[in-house]
Amino acid sequence: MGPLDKYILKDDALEATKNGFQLKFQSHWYRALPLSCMDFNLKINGKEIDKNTFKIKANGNEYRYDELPELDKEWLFVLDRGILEVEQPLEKGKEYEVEFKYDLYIPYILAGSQAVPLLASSVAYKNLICQ
Amino acid sequence: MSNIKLATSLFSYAYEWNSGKYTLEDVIAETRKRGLGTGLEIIGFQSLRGFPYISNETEKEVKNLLDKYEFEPVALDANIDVGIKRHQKMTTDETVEYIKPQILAAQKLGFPILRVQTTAPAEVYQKLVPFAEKANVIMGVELHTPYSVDHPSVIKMLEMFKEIDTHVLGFVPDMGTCMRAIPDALLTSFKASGVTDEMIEATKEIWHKDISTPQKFGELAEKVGVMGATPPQIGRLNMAFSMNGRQPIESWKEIMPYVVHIHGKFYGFDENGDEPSIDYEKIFKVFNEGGYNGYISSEYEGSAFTDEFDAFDMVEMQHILFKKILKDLT
Repeated sequence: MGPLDKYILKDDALEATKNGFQLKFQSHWYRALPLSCMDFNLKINGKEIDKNTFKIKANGNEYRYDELPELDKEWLFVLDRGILEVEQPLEKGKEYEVEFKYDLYIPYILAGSQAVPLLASSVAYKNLICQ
Repeated sequence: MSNIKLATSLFSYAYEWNSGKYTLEDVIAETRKRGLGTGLEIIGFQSLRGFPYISNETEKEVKNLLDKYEFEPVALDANIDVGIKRHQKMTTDETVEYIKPQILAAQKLGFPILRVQTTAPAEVYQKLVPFAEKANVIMGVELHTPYSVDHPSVIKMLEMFKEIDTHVLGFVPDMGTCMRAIPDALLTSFKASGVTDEMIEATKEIWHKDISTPQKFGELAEKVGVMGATPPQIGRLNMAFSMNGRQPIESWKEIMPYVVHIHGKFYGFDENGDEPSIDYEKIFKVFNEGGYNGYISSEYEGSAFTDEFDAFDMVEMQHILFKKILKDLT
């Protein structure tokens, strides 16, 4: 949604793994937030990946997608990258069209009549070569 | 003669910082090289990995940098993340416990003021008074738009301040609360998302009305909707109301004895080096006459909407403006 969006996906963000691939992402907010304040949507070549197959990694720890809202103690520092891991094979060296929607629920800005965390949503589109 | 002192908040460099090309020393060194004040403000969750827990190593690093580049530690910024679990808000006691380690971080790093936020009510800060007194850290509640001095939460906060005899409670007014116009730089940035000049004119017109922010949102949606604005475009235009407050500058007099620090928010400059959207000449006059003798920190808002300018250049321009105003103040 703003200038910090350009840092979400770096050129080396997409990487093949033993069982599939991983996507490394950086926050588009100016300060660290914990995983409980985050949500993700990922499309590869226009095809949406089932969120329930995501494994989310931060600071060397690994979580399931449905664990996210409770992870208020797992911080992602603004200069560190988190990882989404998916068990779906991608070909090393091949270019993929990546559409990554990265939602942040800002915990100190409460908006609307229900005073809920402000949603700051950004979408990063990038053609990435699988590393 | 004015005793108001100049500082820089590292918030200003968010765009540069997130690029990962700068170390903490790099940004502090550049701030010194350009002579951007005698004081420094740091946002804990932005600059310090592991915040609010400060390792002895981090303590040493921060203190060494402040010493090496001759900056007075002015304020450490806490965040009051009451919505951290997204679907369930923190209770009063949970919020109290959430703030305690941030008070200790300010104490450990030698910052006299911890900037706190209005997401916690007066009751939370009242409960924290003994803890903050023991740590000798002032809790400065930031008054950021829409929390102007006439906001019910702020009125309640002020009443509580008056009842309690302590030096650890104060306010940090943010100058985005008392603006004279929507910044052109912000409006121009909306055009990238397809917003038209006509829609911008309508937004400006509604901003100047004496109606509540939710009413402004409603009126805007109706007016620019007819012009063909899409929901994301309306969302962008809403920023003009949520970021830019219209409180009269004179109203700060109502809380003057409790002001412990000021955020010198800014968006851009005209060809004369003036900030067209914030009347700093008048701001300095009001705070100077009120006997304020603390710091004002430069807080460049650019990273929220534009990457057109270098943040170090922008902060430097604001300091040139501030020094000129201070020189003319009698």
